[in-house]
Amino acid sequence: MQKSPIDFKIFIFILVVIFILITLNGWGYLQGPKNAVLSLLSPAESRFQSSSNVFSDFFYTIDKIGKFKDENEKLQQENRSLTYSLAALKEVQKENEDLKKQLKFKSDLCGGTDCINFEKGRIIGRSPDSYGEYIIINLGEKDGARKDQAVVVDGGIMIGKISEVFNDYSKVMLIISPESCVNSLTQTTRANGLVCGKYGTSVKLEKIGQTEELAQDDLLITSGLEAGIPKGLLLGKIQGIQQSPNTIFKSADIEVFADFSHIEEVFLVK
Amino acid sequence: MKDKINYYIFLPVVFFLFFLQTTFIAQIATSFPLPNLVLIFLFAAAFLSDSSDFIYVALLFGFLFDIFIGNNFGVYLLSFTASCALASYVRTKFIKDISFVKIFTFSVAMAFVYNLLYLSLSIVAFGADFFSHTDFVSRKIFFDLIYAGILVYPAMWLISKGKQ
Repeated sequence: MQKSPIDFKIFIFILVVIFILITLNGWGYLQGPKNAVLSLLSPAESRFQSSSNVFSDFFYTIDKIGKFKDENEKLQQENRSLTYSLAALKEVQKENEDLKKQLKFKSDLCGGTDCINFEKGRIIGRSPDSYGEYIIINLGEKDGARKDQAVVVDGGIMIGKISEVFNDYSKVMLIISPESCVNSLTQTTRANGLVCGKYGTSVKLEKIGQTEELAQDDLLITSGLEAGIPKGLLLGKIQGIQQSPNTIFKSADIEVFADFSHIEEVFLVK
Repeated sequence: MKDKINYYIFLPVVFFLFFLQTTFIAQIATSFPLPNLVLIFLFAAAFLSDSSDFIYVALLFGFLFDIFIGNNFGVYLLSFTASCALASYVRTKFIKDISFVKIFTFSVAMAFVYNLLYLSLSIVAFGADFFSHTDFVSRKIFFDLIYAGILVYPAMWLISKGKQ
């Protein structure tokens, strides 16, 4: 049977509708309808997400069983090393407090991420394509979410920042997204650069000046230079360093700490 | 073959694929390029349908994808609708009968057009520096074409079943 060709008038009408929608979105008039659509889809989305978590955990466990022994040994070693570091840090903290007292400084007990407020939320959806990596969380404007606020998981590991806020929901751009760049600092050498996402799960440290030092396995933390992202949130660990005298900047491959496919709960940094 | 797609079956299936895409597939395959099941389903509809009504479905899901994805609102709306309209036009004008090779070529070509549209619109929206072009070709377009070529057959089978 001969198919009827697409009606040109209908196509033009649809294009006009699209341009009206884009214009309305640009003026911010679509926030309400978008929130309504998300509210409408979120019950089904949440159910699918819950089943997906169970399904994913099952395969994740199967995949991990073979690696448990090696991982356990590695974790025990890391634990011993961290215990030692913690003990050393406590000594330094005590020494610091004593010195402050001696110098009659006003004591400020906020350290690291201790003074930051967190709001707990959960993921209700993920980006349906791999062009960009986004998640949708159930915290919105009414929960105090604002654009560019950092989103972390357990252990103060930053996973992304808020890219769009609705009344009840927020869209989070993950640090692995090719659109994402976060100002960062290496913990030991204090080199300042940008942690930018690449396709998939890879993340790269970029824009490090040739005079700056980079060390293998050095931790990367947020620099605190961006609004909404406090200093000291963990980003990852330096894996491979790329440097050449012919280039302006050094760069490095980063091992991210968060397992993006198994995140269920997140915390909004306030 | 009947003239029209049965939308009482088609729409719930596309919604199901949408939820599947935004939860299961997105979660399982974070580190690997994903097939866009909804788009492949729409291409299959373009191949099988005698009317262009499914363009409205492309419009609806382009809108939903734009809401779920991110900073570039309108890119999915435009690329979904335009590539599905083109698919319908190409099918009407140039493909008179169905064969294995024609379905494969049609689906791969449409996926290529869609990716090209997406890339062009994103460059217009964000500038040429936005994309790492090598990554885009190797990690996205390449896999998308393979997925489109393979998954269009089960999609067509499902739509045909729904029509009966």
